[in-house]
Amino acid sequence: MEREIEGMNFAAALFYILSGIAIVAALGAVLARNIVYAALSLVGAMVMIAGIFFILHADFLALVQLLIYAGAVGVLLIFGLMLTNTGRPVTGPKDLWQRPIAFVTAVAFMLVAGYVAVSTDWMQGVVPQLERVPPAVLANSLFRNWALPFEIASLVLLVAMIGTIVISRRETSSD
Amino acid sequence: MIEAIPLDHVVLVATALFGIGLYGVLSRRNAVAILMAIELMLNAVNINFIAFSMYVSPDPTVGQIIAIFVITVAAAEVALGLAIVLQIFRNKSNINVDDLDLLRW
Repeated sequence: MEREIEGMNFAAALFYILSGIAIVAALGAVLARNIVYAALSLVGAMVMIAGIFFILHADFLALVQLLIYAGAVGVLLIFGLMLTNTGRPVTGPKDLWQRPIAFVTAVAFMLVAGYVAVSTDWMQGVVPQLERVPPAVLANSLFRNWALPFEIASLVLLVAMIGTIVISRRETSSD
Repeated sequence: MIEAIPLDHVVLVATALFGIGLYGVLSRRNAVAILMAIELMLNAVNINFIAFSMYVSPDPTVGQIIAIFVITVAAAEVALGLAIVLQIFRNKSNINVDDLDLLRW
């Protein structure tokens, strides 16, 4: 019993630590002047969010998050930055008036959504079942109940792949 | 094991991340930086999906499966977005979204 309570506290403490680092890294991704630091900060935030997924009993999604976001999307974004690098900063004097508006909008959103999150009684009449979902159960549900959305997702990925190749292809003078 | 974490706190973390991403989308002028902020917002939404599916859904798999679909579409979106940004950069040698006003009347 003593060990169990310790485990509970450990998971909760880990959640708050990971959340704190994730928020700091997200701020870095949004505020950093150097865009490469921003991309690396974003990858750090993605890794922390994978840890949060793991604490929330979504093991499979934590691994998917690490592979796709921290791996593939991070590499893709850094490649994009590298290919579009002009050596001079993109921000100009024109963006100064947008900063306060963006700040007010984001803070207003956070206040409203935070108020809703705190004031709503989410657990009303609900018995939370906090067991770990094994990947086999997830796969059964995905390939039985969600088979059609799964196939449509594969079509979306195929279209996106072909579209990316067509769009980013260099136009040759022969055609 | 996670009973010690109230659902409110998870939702608050997701709200904070979404708000930070929103600020990034609205304040950044570099097109790639805007894509990065959008990825952050999608991740915040995924945290919410997983938390609600864990705590209040009768079927704990639904939220995770929807999060998988969100990740799928986000991957497609970032690939297409970067292809478009790359093509804009080839044509205009610039990815400042303020300069992309060719269609402005």
